Amino acid sequence: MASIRDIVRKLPNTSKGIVEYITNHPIKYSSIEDTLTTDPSTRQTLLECAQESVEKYAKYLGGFASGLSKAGHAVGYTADAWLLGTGDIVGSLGGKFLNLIAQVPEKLKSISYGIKTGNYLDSLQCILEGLVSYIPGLTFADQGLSRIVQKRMIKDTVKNFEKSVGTYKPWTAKLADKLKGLYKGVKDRKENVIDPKYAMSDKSGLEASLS
Amino acid sequence: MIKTEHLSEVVFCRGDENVLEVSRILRDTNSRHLVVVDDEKRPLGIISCVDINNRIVSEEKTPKDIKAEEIMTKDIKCIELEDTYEKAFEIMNQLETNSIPVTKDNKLIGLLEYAIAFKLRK
Repeated sequence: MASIRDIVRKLPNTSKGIVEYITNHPIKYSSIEDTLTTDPSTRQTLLECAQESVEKYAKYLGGFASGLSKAGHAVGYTADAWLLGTGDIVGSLGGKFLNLIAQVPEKLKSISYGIKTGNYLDSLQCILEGLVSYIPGLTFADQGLSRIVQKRMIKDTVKNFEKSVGTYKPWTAKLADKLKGLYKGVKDRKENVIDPKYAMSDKSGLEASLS
Repeated sequence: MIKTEHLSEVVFCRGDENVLEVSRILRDTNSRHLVVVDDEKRPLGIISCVDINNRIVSEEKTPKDIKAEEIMTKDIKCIELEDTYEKAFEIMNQLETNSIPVTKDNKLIGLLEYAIAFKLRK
């Protein structure tokens, strides 16, 4: 069984799907939306970046480990439902243990993925989610390697596209840009605000909020 | 009678505070206007961002040297908590404002928004 998150919001695994996903989220990817609006010819660049990402990461999608992981998830969801229905935590944990074992090949694959691609945090996330999902009721926490890789393909496409058109900024620069717009020396002004809820009590806004 | 749960928070300053401080209060509270009050929190006037622009900046005055009471719009209309939404609505219509200060025994306790008065008037 696929991750619940895959059922609720499916992520793309083809170049066309990635382009569609990015263009369908103009707020999240506003810089890309701006570039595409200003120069529609860059859409081809975006498609090429998506193709590169798919070529790089497609081999980590699906496969035997993923199939086994999905089967394990099905057992895990059943164990969660069993716990909910019967309150039998020992039985539920037994089922969840089978799920845990079924995730081992995929977690090993994620280590290999991390070493080969340099995306160690993705690998770590995959393993940690697998461990968390052993907690009763939390099978959904494990989204699986395929979904993590799909997210990576989107991030990779965005990054490569921004580099191609010259709009790429590391996250530190983006954060600095955001902070630049803030006012300096802003104070808490509770003493200058009357809250009607406390106004009858002869207290200032500050006193009232502290009481 | 107007209920306190239908009122919004109101930003205020003292009449003897300088305009530089007033402009900072407006900035920090993300407000466009504030009510000037005396020591008993009785409303004396109102200052908007436009007042600061038109009466200080455009006339090349120094905001630090001018007191709030010197540039405020005086004789503002307020409404008592015992009054009705209907009355508040009528006053706001006459004055073409979007809110009106509400007092209890002449003491400022909040703001009544036009939309609320419109919705709750009889």
